[in-house]
Amino acid sequence: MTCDLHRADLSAHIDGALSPGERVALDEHIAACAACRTDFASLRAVKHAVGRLSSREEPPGAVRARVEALRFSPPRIRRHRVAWSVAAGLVLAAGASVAFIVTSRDSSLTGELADILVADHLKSVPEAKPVEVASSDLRVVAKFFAGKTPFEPVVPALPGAALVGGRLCKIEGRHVELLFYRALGETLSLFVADRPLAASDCRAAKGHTVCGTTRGAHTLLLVGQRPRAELRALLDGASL
Amino acid sequence: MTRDEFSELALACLGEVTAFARRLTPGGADADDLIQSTYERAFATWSTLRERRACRAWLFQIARHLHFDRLRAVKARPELRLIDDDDAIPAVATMAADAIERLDAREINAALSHLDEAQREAVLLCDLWGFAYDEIAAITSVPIGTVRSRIARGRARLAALLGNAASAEQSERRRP
Repeated sequence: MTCDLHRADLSAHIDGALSPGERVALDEHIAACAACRTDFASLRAVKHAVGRLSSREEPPGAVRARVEALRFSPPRIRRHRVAWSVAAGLVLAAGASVAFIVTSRDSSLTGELADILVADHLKSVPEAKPVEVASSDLRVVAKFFAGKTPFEPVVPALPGAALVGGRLCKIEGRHVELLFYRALGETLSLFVADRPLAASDCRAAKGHTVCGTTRGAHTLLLVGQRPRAELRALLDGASL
Repeated sequence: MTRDEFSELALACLGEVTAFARRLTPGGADADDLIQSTYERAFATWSTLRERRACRAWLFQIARHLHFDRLRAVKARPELRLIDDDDAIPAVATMAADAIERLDAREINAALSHLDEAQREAVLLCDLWGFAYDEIAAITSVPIGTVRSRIARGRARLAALLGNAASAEQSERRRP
């Protein structure tokens, strides 16, 4: 064998990743080959040099606090009422305010949440104020949210609905997507959050309908004036 | 494993996950968000973790996936540059091992920055965080053979880069 054939093995040997047979054969070669002995020592020095770098770093205090708080956060399914973001009067960057209050036992939207979502829908639709990103292209709109939301942005395709655009919202300090679609003869608002909320039903509020669903780690909440059966069909047909 | 036991295990890794997140997002403020998102995902899906000893690698895997998911969302093509793993492994630069041992963290990090991203990742996971090849394969979603060749290539390249740094340092010391 030539030394070229040993190069990959030298590194693997340092890491203890060779089989016993390979190790014995390579050790015999290293004992007889000065060049490979030198290479072996150099590669081991490289490993030690990298190993001297810091493998642990302290996160900012606020990050540590939030992470450590997760151990006390409720499991996804609980037998009692769960309030997620009940901060009243939350002022959102986009001028919309959203608070989520859900009851996980029956997976129902609360009336308070539905009222707030409808109010935000009315304040934020493109007819009321310009959108922050105007495009019918799902990728363009998703790209707008990239880096702005603390989760991988998703812009669902709703069956028979045309995407208009979107704007950024904030929930309890965390940004979420607010998307607008034209369908069923009106403009619909779709809130996309990263929390696995239990929000699988529909509720009437202020002459509108609010329907929710969860897709993986995302929660989708659709607001419009059409009957719940029509909104539910749109939401159930959403493809991410 | 109970949720409390998982919490203990996962939180014990916070410092390492922080260091890893900062390596993934150098110079950016995205690391904090990545750390938090990693733990949120972990606490949401901890029951899928089958073995206690896999917890650390699993957290690294989550962080890495979240990071590259975000990159993919931002760019049509991920920033990770593909390399040909079948390329020949470069010869190791001949130099005194003790010269490398004297280099400081700044010089080692500078050399690491010249590595191909995939090789740097494999070398760091192995040499800095001490993961075994099979764990690195799981974290980075590549076969073990690819891990092995990336580490071999990365170390050989690092040996050359650090050798140059060590030589430069020696020349500097000799200068009157």
